[in-house]
Amino acid sequence: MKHWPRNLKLGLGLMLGWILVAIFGPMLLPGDPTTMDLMHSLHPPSLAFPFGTDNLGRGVFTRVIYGSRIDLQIALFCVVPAFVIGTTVGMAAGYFGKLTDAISMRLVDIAVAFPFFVAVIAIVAVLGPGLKNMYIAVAAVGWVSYARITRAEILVVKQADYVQAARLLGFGNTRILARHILPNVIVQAAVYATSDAVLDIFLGSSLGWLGLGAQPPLPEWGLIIADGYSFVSQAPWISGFPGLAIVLLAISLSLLGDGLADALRPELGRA
Amino acid sequence: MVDLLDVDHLGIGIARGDSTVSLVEDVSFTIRAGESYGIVGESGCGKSTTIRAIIRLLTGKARITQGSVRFDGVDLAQAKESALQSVRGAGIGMVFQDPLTALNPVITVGQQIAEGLRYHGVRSAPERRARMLEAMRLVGLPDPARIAASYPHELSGGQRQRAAIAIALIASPRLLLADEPTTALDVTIQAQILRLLTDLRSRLGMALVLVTHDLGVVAQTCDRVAVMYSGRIVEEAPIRRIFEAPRHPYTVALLNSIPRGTRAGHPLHPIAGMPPDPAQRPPGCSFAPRCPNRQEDCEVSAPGWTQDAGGGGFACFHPALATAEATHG
Amino acid sequence: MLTYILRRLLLMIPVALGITLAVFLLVRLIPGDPARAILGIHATPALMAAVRARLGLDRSIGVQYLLYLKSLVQGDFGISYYYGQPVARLVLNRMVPTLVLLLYSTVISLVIAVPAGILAATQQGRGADHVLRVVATAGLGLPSYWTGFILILLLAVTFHLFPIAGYGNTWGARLYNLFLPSLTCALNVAPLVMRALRTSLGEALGAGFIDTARAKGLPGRVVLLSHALRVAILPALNVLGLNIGFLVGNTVLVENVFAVPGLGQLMISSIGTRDYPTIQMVTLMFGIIVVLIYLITDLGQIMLDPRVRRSEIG
Repeated sequence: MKHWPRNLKLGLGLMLGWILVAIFGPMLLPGDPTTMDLMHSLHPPSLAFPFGTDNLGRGVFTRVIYGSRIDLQIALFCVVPAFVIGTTVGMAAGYFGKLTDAISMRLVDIAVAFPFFVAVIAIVAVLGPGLKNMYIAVAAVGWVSYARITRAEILVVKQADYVQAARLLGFGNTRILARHILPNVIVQAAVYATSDAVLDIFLGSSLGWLGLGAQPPLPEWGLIIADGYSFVSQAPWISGFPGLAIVLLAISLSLLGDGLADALRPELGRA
Repeated sequence: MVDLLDVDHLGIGIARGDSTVSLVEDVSFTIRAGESYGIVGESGCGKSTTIRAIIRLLTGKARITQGSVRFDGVDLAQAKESALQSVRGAGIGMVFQDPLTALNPVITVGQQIAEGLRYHGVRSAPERRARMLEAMRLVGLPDPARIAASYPHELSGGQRQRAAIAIALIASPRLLLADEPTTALDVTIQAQILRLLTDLRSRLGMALVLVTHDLGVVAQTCDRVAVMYSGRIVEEAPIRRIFEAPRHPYTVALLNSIPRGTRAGHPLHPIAGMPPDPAQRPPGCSFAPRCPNRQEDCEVSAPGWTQDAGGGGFACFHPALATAEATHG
Repeated sequence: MLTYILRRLLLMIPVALGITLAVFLLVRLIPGDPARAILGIHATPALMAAVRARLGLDRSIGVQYLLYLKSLVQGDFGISYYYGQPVARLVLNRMVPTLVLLLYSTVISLVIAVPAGILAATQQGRGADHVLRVVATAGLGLPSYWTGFILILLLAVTFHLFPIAGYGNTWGARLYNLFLPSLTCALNVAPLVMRALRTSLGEALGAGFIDTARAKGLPGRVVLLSHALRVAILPALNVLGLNIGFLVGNTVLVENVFAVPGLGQLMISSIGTRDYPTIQMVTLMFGIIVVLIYLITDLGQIMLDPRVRRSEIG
């Protein structure tokens, strides 16, 4: 613990804070994020409403806290499927080579031609708006980066002495993959996953903002920002605070990712 | 002859944490106009640091901590950056060890050679080009016009080092500093480059300071030589005297470690042990732990400088005899 | 050089085919009967039949794709359901603002990232460097629709320096109107370029050729700009090229924030109107833009770096 990089400790601490907020925040708050109260619409920040209220009189603070659940969920549900599919494809491509490799890498070539964001929007456009379809879209294109990283890593690890030795000893493919290659590769992919999570929160809230992701009245941050757009000059707090929340969450994740990379670098060097 | 460069009690240190580790201590020598001076020692002895300090090109956090470096009556150790810039290139040129990294990979060789002139008062581009081509011929680069338009990666190692020499002398410096100029080259090329440096020195009448770990290189090139060990000059003498009658036990050991292929049966004697870490030098003579002549007083205080009759000197309490032919057979 | 470019263009053919295949399959993702989805529940059977015939839904999927390719080659991208005009004309009109926005934000990112990268690299480990690193991390976390909001709030609403939205009729007006949108995009990309430049310039400043340059008597400014930066800028530009997809994605958001009549705005509005041919072609255009920019980046690298030039062209 003492030797952990400072940014890793800071990132871990902040992320732990976010998770606690997402789990316990809504339980501790008296208000409800969706109940309208037109008597108190567009109130500037005050003691009763720390982040002010929106045009429907809902407390922005309450909505932002509830929103942390949704945006953290977005990060998780976007990263995990892409991670699993991508590393599997990447390992298959890297380990078995030949046809498996050729086919999956051509798929990768095509997928990277489209900007990630554009591809997700296009898929959501045909499947229809909503969080579920967004997760499907992200899984459909997001695996590519993991596959590339994993494949590149496998190609290196495959040549490592201990893997060659395991092969000479007659261990089967499954066992070599699971015992010797997987741990190395997972570490690399996990470091990437933190920056991917930042991107996904970005994407998820952007889709919410565009009306293609989370749907009202869910207090998703991007959606709250979109609500506040009509009140730029009257009530900048509506869009301002959820934006700060996104930035803070993104910084927390970035710190965690940079810290992980720093902490693992010597180990990766050895592998 | 006149003193061109006067290095006096130069000390160089590097900040490490709260304290300063001294890399070079109390180094003094003078270079006369047109002479050739060698500085020899093992890697890490401070020889490169010393000549880099002359034009204040110290790496990283190393700083001059004491002493002076007088060139043309100006103390370069104290000089302002602008004054240094006019001395660099025009007064003192420098050639570095690795020709692979010494040239900028994305600028043509010709441009890199000519460029310095622009900042030393040559305003006219055609004149710069003429002098560039002349310098390239001088260092023996074939087909200068073609090579001038090439990029460094298109040249061989030897050609690159010749180009680096052309860069160093295009503004006609009176002193050329060469930091291990042949170490990174093939043996056959090494000899060519050394011959070129010797030749240029006599043709252009400039002085040369050559830093090397190789006494053989010094023997071919230099008039006088200083031997450095652990940040200090331990012996200085005319080149003949160093080879014929070395006084400091370290110089003796260095000579014994040179392979001499012509003499059959002559054993090679590598120097046992390692030089001390600059942060933990022994209180007395730094060479004492490895010295065959070591006695009790060596470990108490560092020996002072003893001037000898032939225009040299050494820092040792128990030097080899003045006629010590026998020590290296 | 010419043969190299030709070879690169040839290598693009399979990727281009892949892009069309992906875009073709995209519309097959529509749940249920595509003709029904396209036309809505009130469509007449005649109209449905026409759409089915157009999409070739009665044939096998392979034939459908070939038909699609054939129409693309003929320049027939379909008719917009919403605007009732050929999609090709619609999309081409919307290309210009998007391309201007891309170029403009690239320029602004460089204007921000290069000085910041130089400052960070020359002050490495000191105050300015730490501040810039924090700012860069924050910049990467800024969603552009929110940055746009803050910029509008500050520079448009409060200080009236720039318009809240719009495009303009003259080039002067467009450059003025597109400044805030471009700045918004640039704020996301500049940190990436700055970080890359900080690293590469830090390395370049420690390289041997910097000693040579200083030993020539060059002023510090010349050593930094024409020796160190000239080498260090190459990897930074490469990072910029590799992140072009990210930048393009951002323009979609930013066009919607600032009402810029570009491809991104067309794409989002077409989703609302279920204008599938338009969505299809916009997606295709985005793919083509990105692939072309990758190509330009590669060629730029070759033009700027004599080492690559030699090894690539031989």
